[in-house]
Amino acid sequence: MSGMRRSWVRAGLATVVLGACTGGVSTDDPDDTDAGVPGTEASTWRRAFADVTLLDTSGGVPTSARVPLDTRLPMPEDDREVDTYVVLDGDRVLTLAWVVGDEAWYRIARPVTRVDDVWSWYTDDGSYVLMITDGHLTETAVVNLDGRTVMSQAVFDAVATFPPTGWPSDVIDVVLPAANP
Amino acid sequence: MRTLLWPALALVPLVAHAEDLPSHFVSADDCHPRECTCADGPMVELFLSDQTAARDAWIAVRVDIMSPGGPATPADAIADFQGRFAGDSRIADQFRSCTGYDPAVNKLTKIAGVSGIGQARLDPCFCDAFCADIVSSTVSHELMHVPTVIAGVVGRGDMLVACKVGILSGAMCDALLPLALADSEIAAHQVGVVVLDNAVDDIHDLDPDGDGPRTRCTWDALTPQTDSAGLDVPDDLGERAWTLWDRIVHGSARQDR
Repeated sequence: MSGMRRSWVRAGLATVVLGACTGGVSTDDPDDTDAGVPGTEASTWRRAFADVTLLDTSGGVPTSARVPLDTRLPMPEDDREVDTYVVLDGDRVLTLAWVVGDEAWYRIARPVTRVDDVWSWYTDDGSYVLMITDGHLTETAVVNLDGRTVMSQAVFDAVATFPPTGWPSDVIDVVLPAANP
Repeated sequence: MRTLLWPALALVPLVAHAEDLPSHFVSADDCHPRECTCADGPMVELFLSDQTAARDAWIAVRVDIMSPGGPATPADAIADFQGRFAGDSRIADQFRSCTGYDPAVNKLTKIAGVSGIGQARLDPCFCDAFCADIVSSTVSHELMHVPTVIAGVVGRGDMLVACKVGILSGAMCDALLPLALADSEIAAHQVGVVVLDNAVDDIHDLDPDGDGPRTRCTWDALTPQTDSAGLDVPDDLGERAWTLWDRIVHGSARQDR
């Protein structure tokens, strides 16, 4: 299917899809469970909890609460969950994600803006800032939806080993577009 | 794993597990469509207009999700899309023209999907009926879905949990998963559109007579049955779709613009 490969490359999709086309599901060494040094830029992180604040734009008192976070989130229009971890990689943020039940997991790289030890990006809905504080990764997200603003300050713990038990060994590498215009 | 549904060969998503993919589907490496020629120009162009209209329909769905009374679940968003978009019947007709077409096996409602190891799988009837650039655009579309859905869910993860435990509620919560789906659909359709756009240029550059590049390949365009006219798509959202695609094409190399 040389024509198909040619089109992918020409469309600049090589980093997004060509790996899958050519069987680019690479097999990492299943014995490699090095998750980096806990609490540093080299760590692999899992969400622990978040302080979520709903800002009342009409001037009322903001509503705030602490939410315990799991690594697993629901997939839309799917009865399964996605298990997610985060790694900082230079000026990229890597999301390590396994859709529970799949035979491979995704390593999704998103180029972001890095200034010193702060990683930031924004989307149509909001802005995100990551930094390491006292051995924990923190994420401050301000999201605007439905005319309301939610600020979330999430705290991540470094994990001792990665991948977690139960994850498959095959990895699919994907590079998403830079989030910042 | 998710599969692609095509009522009248319109791109409509549904999520399914790997075991839901029909057993007769083949991997992209085992899908051997013919190279596109000058004669395929009208169909490639029609496919392009169809996918552009589908993308614009999803952009309109995204606007609906953010509006009062808009889709509150991913299923609602899909229904909204289906109400806004119907695929071109001539594309469906060409699908039915594949060698050995069997309506009991080759379903217009399911022609491609992504396996649990992230590889595209396709109905061989689709591989047979359409030329390589059309198949390529569909593969690119499919492979874009899972990572973009994951990125959308992770970006809204704290809010999803806050909604689950009741700290946040109402329309804001309802919008989270439909938005993740719509964003993924817009990105996936945009990938397909760009692949097809490049393909149309390539086909125009083919030599129709085989005697050298003195003449370009031309054709009478098929009038699309579907277009973006009448869709409530804000101009800036369309531009955002192109901006997103530009970032996909150029990746981190362009982030410093």
